[in-house]
Amino acid sequence: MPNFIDNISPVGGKLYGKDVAGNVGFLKTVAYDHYRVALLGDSITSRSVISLYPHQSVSAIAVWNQANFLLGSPFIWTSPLAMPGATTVMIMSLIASIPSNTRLVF
Amino acid sequence: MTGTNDIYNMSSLANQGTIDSNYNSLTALISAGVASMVSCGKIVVISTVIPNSAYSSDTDSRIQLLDRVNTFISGLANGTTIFVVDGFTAMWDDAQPTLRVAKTNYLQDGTHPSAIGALEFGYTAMAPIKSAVARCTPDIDIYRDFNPALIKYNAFRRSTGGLAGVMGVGCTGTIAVGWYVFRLAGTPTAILDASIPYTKDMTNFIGGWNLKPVGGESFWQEMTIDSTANGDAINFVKNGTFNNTTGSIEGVCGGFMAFAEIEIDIVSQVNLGEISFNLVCYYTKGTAPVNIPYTGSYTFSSSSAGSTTDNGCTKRAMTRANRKVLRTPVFRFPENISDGEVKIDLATSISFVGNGNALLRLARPSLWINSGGRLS
Repeated sequence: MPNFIDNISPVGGKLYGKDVAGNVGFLKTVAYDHYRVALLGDSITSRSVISLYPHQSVSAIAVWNQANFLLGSPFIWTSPLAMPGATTVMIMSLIASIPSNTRLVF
Repeated sequence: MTGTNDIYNMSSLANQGTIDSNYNSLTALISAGVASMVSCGKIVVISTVIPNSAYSSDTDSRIQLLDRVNTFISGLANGTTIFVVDGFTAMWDDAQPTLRVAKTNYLQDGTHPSAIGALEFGYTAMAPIKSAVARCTPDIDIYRDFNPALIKYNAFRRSTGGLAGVMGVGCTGTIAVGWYVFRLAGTPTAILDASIPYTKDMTNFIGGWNLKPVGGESFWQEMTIDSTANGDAINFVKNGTFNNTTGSIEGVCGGFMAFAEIEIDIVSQVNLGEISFNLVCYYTKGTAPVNIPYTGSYTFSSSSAGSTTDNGCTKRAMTRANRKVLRTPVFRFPENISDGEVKIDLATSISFVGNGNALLRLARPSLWINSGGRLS
């Protein structure tokens, strides 16, 4: 994205851009207001994924879920790639599965 | 939690050569992986490896590896593309400085955090995550194709008592219009107040929650709960919220999808063990056609967003007050359901693990409906 700074006010939903001279200015208010996140890790991380049994639930014994709650739930775990028992070599191999449309990786 | 299993699986009696070898291979993998992600424009938030009950001897070789790996991970932070959460420090029992065990009750099973441990991790993670998010653009619209339901009740509206819902035994005060409270178990008392104006948390919250306007009538539903005993529970419910048999503007049909959100402020508490927010969906299975999915025996299902429950281990009281936004998973109504009553309840369940009390506030309950293929 040339001539573009993808910086955003944490609460304003506002997008700022930079012109060719380097001046930063307001571009637009964005319609999107949540963030896609890819989760990489082992069982400690995988607990953040929605469980399906006995009913769908969001676990509180999950470190990233608690962080998400405390920040106003701005994150959606769109790529839950954490795998119980995974060693670092397994975890790092799953980097290849992170979609191009996802910027944040926890 | 990158590195946990590698460190745990190394022998506690490993010699220096083995420790060095493990360290070198681990850090090389992490370096390469993080560099690969950064090269593709990713913003990486990585945590140090958290304590483990297994590291309870100061002669355990894994302690050296853990310390060195954590030092390495901490050194990755650059303030632009890599941000580090010091999960280890958040959970470490530093009163036992030669060991690498967690504080009491912070782990559920010696390896995985309890709700308390996860909460403390969450607090530590807030600052680095906010720094990371400041480098990103929001990239998903979670409300796409969902309409706000609960048109009259998307905020807690002040109640003077005259329009109050039905309160259970032991409850006094005022309850927000259209909501109900039921005492489920034990003999706690609850004083309810729906007259405190809601204000946003501009300090801690980021993202969409604070971008939603606050209505002219938007109040906290405050609950002052007292005289609790272990096992006491309160269920605060808006029932029959969306009902296909009571002449609602829109009913609920098979194929519809729903999720709900709420904000919870735990102002103070003693022995408060759990709060969960539930989207409870009622329906009866259909009879024909029979050979399609969703012909199971369920007549009830639910989605919930836990906040403090310790699922499957002994419930612990929370260690501190906190303010949160909870969102349920999306629930999809099965296709083959009866055309009888189909409805959705929103329920906040509160339970205690001992003699105690709590001052709780709930705000901005929201129900979102995707009306299955219909233009809206």
